[in-house]
Amino acid sequence: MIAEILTPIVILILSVVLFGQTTQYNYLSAVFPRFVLGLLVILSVILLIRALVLFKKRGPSAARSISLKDFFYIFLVAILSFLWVYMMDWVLGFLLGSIVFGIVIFAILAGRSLKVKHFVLYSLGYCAIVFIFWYALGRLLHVPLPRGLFF
Amino acid sequence: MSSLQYLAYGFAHLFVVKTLLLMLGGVCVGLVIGALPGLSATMGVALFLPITYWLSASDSLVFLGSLYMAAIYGGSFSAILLRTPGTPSNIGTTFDGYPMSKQGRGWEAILTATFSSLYGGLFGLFMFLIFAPMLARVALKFGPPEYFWLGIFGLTVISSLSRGNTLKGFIGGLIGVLLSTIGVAPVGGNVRFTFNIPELIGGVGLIPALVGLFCIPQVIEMILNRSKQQLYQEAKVQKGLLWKTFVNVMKRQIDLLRASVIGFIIGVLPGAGGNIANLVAYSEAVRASKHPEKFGTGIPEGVIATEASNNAVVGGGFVPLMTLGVPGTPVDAILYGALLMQGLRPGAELFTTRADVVYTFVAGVILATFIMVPVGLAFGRGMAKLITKIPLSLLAPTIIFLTMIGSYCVSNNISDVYMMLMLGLLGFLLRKLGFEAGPITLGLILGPIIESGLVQGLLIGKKYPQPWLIFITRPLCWVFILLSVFFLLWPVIMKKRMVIPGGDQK
Repeated sequence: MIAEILTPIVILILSVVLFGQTTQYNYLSAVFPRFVLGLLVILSVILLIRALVLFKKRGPSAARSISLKDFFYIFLVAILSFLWVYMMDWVLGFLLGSIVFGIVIFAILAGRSLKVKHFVLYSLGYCAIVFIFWYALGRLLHVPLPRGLFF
Repeated sequence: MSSLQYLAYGFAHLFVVKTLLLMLGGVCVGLVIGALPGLSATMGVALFLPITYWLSASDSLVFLGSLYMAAIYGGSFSAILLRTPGTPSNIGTTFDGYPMSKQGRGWEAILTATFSSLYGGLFGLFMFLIFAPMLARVALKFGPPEYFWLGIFGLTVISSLSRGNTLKGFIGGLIGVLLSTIGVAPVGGNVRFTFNIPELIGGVGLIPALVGLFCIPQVIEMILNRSKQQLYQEAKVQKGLLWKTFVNVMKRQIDLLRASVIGFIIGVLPGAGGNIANLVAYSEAVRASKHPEKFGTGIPEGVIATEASNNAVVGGGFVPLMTLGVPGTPVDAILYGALLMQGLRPGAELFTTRADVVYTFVAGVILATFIMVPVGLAFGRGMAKLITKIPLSLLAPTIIFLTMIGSYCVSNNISDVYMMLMLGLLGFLLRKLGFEAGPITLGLILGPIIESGLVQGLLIGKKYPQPWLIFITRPLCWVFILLSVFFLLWPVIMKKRMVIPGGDQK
């Protein structure tokens, strides 16, 4: 419920800040963003009023939230994904980077629910997919894939 | 050349080994993606869009169109056998498809879904061939004010048809429009909202945005559901049922026609897709039936309604995309990106300048609709069984890998991958707060159309005492104004009409 109230406030503040930025632009560049931001301000005010009315009527409700454990997994995968792109571009290259980070994420998400035999089998399947794309794009279609220090 | 001649040209162009293989590949990939719960047709087309960059325009569109049509059909397998709709377009199929499976009539349900999908898919595409050239001729008369109102109309519809919350739909659409204003202004020339980040000067790339907004939130959902298992309901092949079911389905011409017309019309409306069409068609089938109480217990009529309508949406969605440059469904938003990527500008002129591509594309999807029937019947059940064995923990990194390729390959720029990941995380956060990806991406596409219409209209309008008068003095503008007002009231109409099993109104 708090999120329902905070969301329109954040949109409202952002809209006002961006509206302020449009004063630096000429008329033809600013007219459309101002039109959109004006609408956003009006709609976020309506959303805020509606959320406040609902809050008064029902009181704080138990929203369906993400558990701390799941949040940790999402955070970890997000960080690993950004690291994947960075390492792929600068160090590991497309093929190696994708294999290493893909399998690391798979291992983290699978946890202990998979037998080692299945884990190896699935990982090999994943490697095959990566290899096919690497070969098709990099070798057959000559797409300049990130090379890093390796390939 | 007439439309029929172009269509004949289109069919002739298809019978090349490479194109046929691409079509078959598109159908196979589409069936797998459709059958995989959690992977929608939109996501499938988004994932494979950048990979088609190296193909010719018509081959690329034929591949993506085949994938799209097959994914919508493929979703029925998991809806029938797993009680999990493969795509949001197959939600209604679970209502009667799964009960049929439980009664040992799974094969009959699959056959019913197959023939209904074939009928609906072909109906939608033939309607496209009839209506699109007509609409394209009208669209040639559009000037900037009409395009401005067309964009507003599109925004009104996508928002009012967004699931659950109309107001949030509107705001989502406006967030998308705002994202489209980042970078150099098309008319004024100022650099807007870049916050001194050089990567933003070129604006938010459409393909990375589409891939990120549709695929990354889905990956996060997979992370949340990583330990869930699917329950598979066996469907044994029964001899002699193929012809019998075909006759049974074709006997229900009224049901097929009603569902296909609903699907086509909803497809034509900008922003609405199969997810809405299948539920509306189902509720209308319940309303029209003499035995509404039997719906939800496992009757073929329920499967016919949903499967014919969701496949008819495909052809319906192509109408505004190809004639007005406004996507009819979220998948069409991705196809819009495919057209741009191939150097084609979606809109009325596409019919006059590159009619060969348009008709080859439609001919390709017609042929793919036929191809998906034997392929689906031969491998669909096996695929549905197989996908229950793929752990979500493996699917998640595989999709991250595909999204990275997808966003990178369009311009071979690693900053597009970062942009995709960030927009994906933003998309997930917004989804959790009730803002769906559909309105945001469609806002992103409609933004430049509305902006060009507004600014150019204001420049032309200088001849009036007030420049903005140009937006309310042209008759075609009023058509869109009235349509926009009608669709603002649409959620109220829908709320009263929707019926789903259990007797509840939705």
